[in-house]
Amino acid sequence: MNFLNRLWTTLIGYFRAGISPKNSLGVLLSRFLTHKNQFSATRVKPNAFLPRDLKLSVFLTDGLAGDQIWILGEKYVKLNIYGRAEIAYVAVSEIGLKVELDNKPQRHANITGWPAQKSEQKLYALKLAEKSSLLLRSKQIEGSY
Amino acid sequence: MTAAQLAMDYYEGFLGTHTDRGVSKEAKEIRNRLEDVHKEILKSLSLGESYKDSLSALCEIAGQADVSNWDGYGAEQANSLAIQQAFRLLRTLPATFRSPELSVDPDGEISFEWYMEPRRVFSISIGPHGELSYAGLFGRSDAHGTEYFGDELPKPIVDNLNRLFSRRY
Repeated sequence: MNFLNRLWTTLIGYFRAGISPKNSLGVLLSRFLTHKNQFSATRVKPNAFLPRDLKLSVFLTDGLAGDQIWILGEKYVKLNIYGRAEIAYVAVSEIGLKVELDNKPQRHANITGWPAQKSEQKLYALKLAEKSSLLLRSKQIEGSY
Repeated sequence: MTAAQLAMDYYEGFLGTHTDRGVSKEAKEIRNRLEDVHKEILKSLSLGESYKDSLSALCEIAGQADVSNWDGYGAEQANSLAIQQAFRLLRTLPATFRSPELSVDPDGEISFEWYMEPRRVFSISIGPHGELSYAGLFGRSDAHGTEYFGDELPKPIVDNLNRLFSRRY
């Protein structure tokens, strides 16, 4: 019964976010970067992917244009946004973690399935950082002129 | 708290306690000599420069994460004991390894990262009681574990750093 409830919640979540479940593997996730600690000039640092309470907050940004993604971040992340780390749903899955879409707020999801041991969390964070792309906001703004 | 104040507070505490559990005259003499050597290193050459750069980077990142929720995702403020441990760890790192990139973890620990290229990276987080959580990617292999930081770098950490820098994998 729990399984059916979870499946139903997931399907409803994808529907509300405007994403087809059959295409979910190609979905892009964004982790908004709110601190200079979380990136260097060319890459996302692993600590941007370390969870709090075994959850890592991300947004499903598939199908949104660059500007719309920044607006989404500004709306729900209450700090200055320096950039975002973009990672494919499939990459998260391959590493062995899960993406649970809760749509609270809309398009919000948590990366879950984290081990309790910090060193193991760090290993997962290293792998996520490897698979992610850094998109700095200033560069995109400069590029749009 | 400014970075300069942090530097003074942490740096002095760190110089006074490093590796020295003894109170005898000889122990004090050894400690004084170590401090002299350390000051000379700081004054001299590029070795001192890179160490000084790391010290100021640590002060800077600690100052930037000096409040709760500094990342907007509920992070804990940089832990002051972890910062002291990080100063101690910096001092213990062999000068033959290049300087790490420093940052604050969401749980307030301080992380040291050596990134060479994709799939060639090693990272250590140090906590308030000297607990070291490490993880690394070495080509197709990876490693992780936990150690405790006493007076010197634990062997698994040194081995992994050697592995990273010598590319033996």
